[in-house]
Amino acid sequence: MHHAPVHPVFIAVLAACSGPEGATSPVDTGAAPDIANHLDGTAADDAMERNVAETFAAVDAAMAVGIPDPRTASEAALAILELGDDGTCPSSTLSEQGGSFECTATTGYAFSGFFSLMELEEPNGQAEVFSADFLVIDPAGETFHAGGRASLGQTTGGSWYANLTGSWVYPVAEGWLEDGASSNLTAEGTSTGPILTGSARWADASLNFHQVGAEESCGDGVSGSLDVRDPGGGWLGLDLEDCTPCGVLQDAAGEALGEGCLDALPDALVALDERLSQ
Amino acid sequence: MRPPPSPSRRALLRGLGAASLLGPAALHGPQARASVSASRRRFLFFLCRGGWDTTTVFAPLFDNSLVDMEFDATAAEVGGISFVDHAERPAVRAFFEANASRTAVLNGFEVRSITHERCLRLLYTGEGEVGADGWPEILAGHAADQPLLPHLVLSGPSFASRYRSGVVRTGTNGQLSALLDGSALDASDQAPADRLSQATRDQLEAALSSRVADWTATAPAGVPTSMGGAHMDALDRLAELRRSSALLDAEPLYPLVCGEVWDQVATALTALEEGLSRCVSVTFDGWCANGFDTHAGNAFQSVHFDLAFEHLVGIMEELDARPGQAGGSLADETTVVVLSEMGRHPQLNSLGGRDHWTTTSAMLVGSGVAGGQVVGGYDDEVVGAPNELSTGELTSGGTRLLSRHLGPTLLALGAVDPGGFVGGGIEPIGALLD
Amino acid sequence: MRAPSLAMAGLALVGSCTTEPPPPYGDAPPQAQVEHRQDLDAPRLLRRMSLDLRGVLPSVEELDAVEADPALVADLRDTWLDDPLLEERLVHLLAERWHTRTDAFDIEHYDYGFEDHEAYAWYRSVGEEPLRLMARVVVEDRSWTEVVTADTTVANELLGAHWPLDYPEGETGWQEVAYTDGRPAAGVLATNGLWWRYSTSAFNQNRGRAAAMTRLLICEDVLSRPVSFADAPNLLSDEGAAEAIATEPACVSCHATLEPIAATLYGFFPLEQYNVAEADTYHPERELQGEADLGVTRAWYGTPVDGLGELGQVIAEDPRFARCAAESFAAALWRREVALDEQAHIDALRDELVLADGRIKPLLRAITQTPAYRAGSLSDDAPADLLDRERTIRLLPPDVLRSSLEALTGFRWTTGDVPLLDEDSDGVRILAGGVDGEEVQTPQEEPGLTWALVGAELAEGAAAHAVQTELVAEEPGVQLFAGLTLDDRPGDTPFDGTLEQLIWQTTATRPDAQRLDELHQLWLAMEADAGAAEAWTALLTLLLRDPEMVTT
Repeated sequence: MHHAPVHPVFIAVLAACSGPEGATSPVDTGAAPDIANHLDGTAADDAMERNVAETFAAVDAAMAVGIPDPRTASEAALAILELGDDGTCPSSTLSEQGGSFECTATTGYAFSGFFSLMELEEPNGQAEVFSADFLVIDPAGETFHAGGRASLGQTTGGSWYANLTGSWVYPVAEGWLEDGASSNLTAEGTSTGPILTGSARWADASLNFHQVGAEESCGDGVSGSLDVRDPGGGWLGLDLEDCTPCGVLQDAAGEALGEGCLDALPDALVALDERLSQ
Repeated sequence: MRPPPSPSRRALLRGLGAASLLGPAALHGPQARASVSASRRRFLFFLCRGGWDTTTVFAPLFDNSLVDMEFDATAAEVGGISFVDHAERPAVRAFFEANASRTAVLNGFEVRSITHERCLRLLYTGEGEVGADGWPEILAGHAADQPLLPHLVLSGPSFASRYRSGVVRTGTNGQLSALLDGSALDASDQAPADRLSQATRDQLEAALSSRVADWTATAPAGVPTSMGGAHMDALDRLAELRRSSALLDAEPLYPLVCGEVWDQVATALTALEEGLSRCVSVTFDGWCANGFDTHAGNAFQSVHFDLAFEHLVGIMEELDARPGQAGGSLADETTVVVLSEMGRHPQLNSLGGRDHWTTTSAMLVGSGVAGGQVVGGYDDEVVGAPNELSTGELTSGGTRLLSRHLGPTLLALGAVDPGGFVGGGIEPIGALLD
Repeated sequence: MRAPSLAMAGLALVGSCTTEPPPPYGDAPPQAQVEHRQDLDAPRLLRRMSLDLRGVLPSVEELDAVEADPALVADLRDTWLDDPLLEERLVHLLAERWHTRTDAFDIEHYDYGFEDHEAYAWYRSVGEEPLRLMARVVVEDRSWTEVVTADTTVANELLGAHWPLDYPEGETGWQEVAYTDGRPAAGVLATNGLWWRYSTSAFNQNRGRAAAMTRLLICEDVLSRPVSFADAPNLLSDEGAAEAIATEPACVSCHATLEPIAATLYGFFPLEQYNVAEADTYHPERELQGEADLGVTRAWYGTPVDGLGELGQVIAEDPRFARCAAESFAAALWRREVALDEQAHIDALRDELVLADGRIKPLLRAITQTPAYRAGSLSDDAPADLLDRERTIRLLPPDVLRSSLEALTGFRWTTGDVPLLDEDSDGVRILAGGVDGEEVQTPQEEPGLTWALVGAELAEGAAAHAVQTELVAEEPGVQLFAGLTLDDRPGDTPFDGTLEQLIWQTTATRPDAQRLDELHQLWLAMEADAGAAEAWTALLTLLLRDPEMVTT
């Protein structure tokens, strides 16, 4: 058992990411009533449009960071485990295949928790599954926090699939892992790119994907639909239309709020495909 | 974060060599036993918490294609007990080889809930009503010899209302002993510089007893007489316990490595041997306290069961070795009740685990038990097959066993009239009674 | 930070729906409750109220006052409803029912890097979070509906340092703060503390949490319904399982009642049960997952909701919510379950709550007016069921023993800051008759062996501390022995006055001459053997173990 205080980096990151809209107090929600009260009808519409635009921008910003994926998670985790472990932790517990550990190596890395790396038969096919529930504090005091599973596999049809569940963060990493993600996201490879299903929260966006990706009938385009959580806690729907990353944002009642495009989505899907089809 | 159980763990069987040296005739348990009246019978409740997988030991359902049986496991039979055998579980076979003649397995009784808390309540009280007393509490409350610690709970739940004052918990870390020897106070931050002398303490206790008696006698109408009576009884028992407190410091029978309850077992056995308790309860949470609740990784049932049966082997050996109060061994006077609050689904889930299942098994060992048999059974749907209670014969017109049948059976073993504790028409499972 | 006080729409609705409601409790409770019961005398009743509401004994001056004028009991009770001690006492009272003050959670202290000696403080902080929010709502006279609608929680510096809370940096103590991870405003239903106690798994899928909600918030114990797989044919096939869910009564009730509620809780669903980040941070992106996983629409007993926030509002408007509050607070102060034939009384208490816009203090006041609360004895012709159930004498729960003796003597029974009467890993909470929320879920009603043993050690420790401090070291202490010296003997005014006052203060009963004489003789005998200090220690120990001290 390590005795160093654990810094809740992930928490802090998420807290910072959620910003003022994370708080639901009427005082803190960010909508300035003194201004809103002076808006006329047009201005009110603008405010709604701004809201829609902000929603698209927030999702796009997340896409630009990169979609959370199991390869990034597991490779980063294994890298820090290898980097920190110089054999001074009990060798019987820390190995390439997994183990449990509560120790500080002479490298200065502190390990706590366990992981395993296994080949498993999964419903979709054969997969390499990295399971983790650990934190590693590096000598600089930064914490790699891992809790979940990162699966990469081949489907019986010959394509790849990937699944990332749980919470992952390492503040000195690049891409989505830097600020971290909470994920239950599955991606499946197709001849034209990945198809995303499931939920994930990263880079200030909470999203549900419904077959979002490069469907073959769309050629190079994208299709599918997303649910986007707005800062107030409501969910907005977005159906991508005409094989474009664009569509009409709708509220829970199905009322159209405005149009927009997720311009960064196609590139994010391409990048995901490149990472996962290796 | 929990360390994962090691798949390479191999249990070291304890005390099995002696049993095998005795030869086949000595196997399956002693043949001649001293009798003890049911009213003086004692009980050791051994709860395997979390919901065990009956197909790992008790239910060899290899012929049922709907059941995912364990790889490499085989059906076996020892001394009339059919069970699931596996090389990774030597303690199971060893237990039956040593104890089959005094062991009865009860298969296929239903605990009608799928939550642990509710199932525990149903298992111990039958109907699960709020305020109902558990079987150990009732048995302890009807002890013929008014033991000092009627139901000694080393760990786990107790369900007590009317018999609450008979439930004595030790604490999970020796608290009762620490209170008795004074260290709980002496080691505290504001410990007294000096404790009361024995002479002063004696005067104090006498004055308090007198005061409680006066208070009880003069209490106005409507004040529960049980309150004053319980107070006086508690003081009396406390005084007696102080005189025998060393008995609660039993050393573990075997080393504690990860999750074993040998320390609790040792204290429980001492309490039985010394006549301090009629019922003792020990809860076993599996290897490294990972519990039997294996929604994922059902293979750990095997590890848990093997360790549980190691304990049972050790318990029976100790009961055989210790004297009873009627001239025979303590085993002659003690019924060991092995339980788990629920069963597990016959089929593996996607995580290689098994989810909850309402039908389960139990095992009775020792005094008063018609051993060498399996009573009840599982039908093709892996729920309880109806049986004739008095004979255990499976018959379509028989009774489908529920947790409420367990109570009258245990009460019958303890010579307690079940009337008032179970619903009308609920008979004991006579086939289990010797 | 506080959510705007919700209109007590539901509560008001209850009131208007009740045809000819029984008169709320004031000074004239229903006759049926009065029959067969006699109130405690004023000092003992005052003592009961003080211990129940503040966890400490009334002062000598307070006892003197009500002895002279029994009408002052109500005035003092009303004062105590505004006493700062009420909040702490409510935490313990609520814990007996909510069971969150446990000694372990799925996430353990070392997961946050705490040392073992810090475990108690951490676990109590976690478990008390929802209790503190409820207590804060009560003491600030806010509507009880905020328990399920508030956009804040109550946290201390430990939680503030490790959970996503806007706890003010550098401050300490229990403060009302907000989570910063986007969780909805749902009062205790949006607290980590509640869901750490009622954890879930991939199998359970929040159903157990939903069952806890119905039990705690509307007093409906869904889990008491029998569930039989034996009655469901073909359960081992997918078709059979689906059929059972649709037609088997037990399955249907769970599926129809619990799963729509469970589906609202997926933001709290951990994908890795024992992982810190999974457990302590809300996952807004999973909010919609429940409907997909469970195949139901999020709802509260048939009323669709769009999430946990709306769920809290719908619960607040459910007539059963107010009624359950009345019933559970009555049970807590009556120290027993509410009987079936007392439902009209609970209705009356609920109406009191409605009339008070959901504020609990008026409800507490009304409960202390009920004959069931005030009863000290029953008439000779009281029916057997009343004799069986009525708690005319109640054991002090461990938290009250602890707080009252600490206030009286200055003694704190701790090891390394862990109050032994308040935990069970090394402590004696259960052994003293308390509730740990896991193995023991209801407080002990009658004396038992370990209760007596704990009481003996506690009393001796407290008595020795007071005597050592005030009489031996002659330090100020808590002035329990003011004016007394070790040279004083029976017959001396300081001795006799001190003894009479100690009995009066600890039991609210005036000792008669015979009792005083017995105690004098006892003291003299002990003093002859062991000296005055030990005699006083023993005498005070005796008083602290007196049956009228350890009960109300």
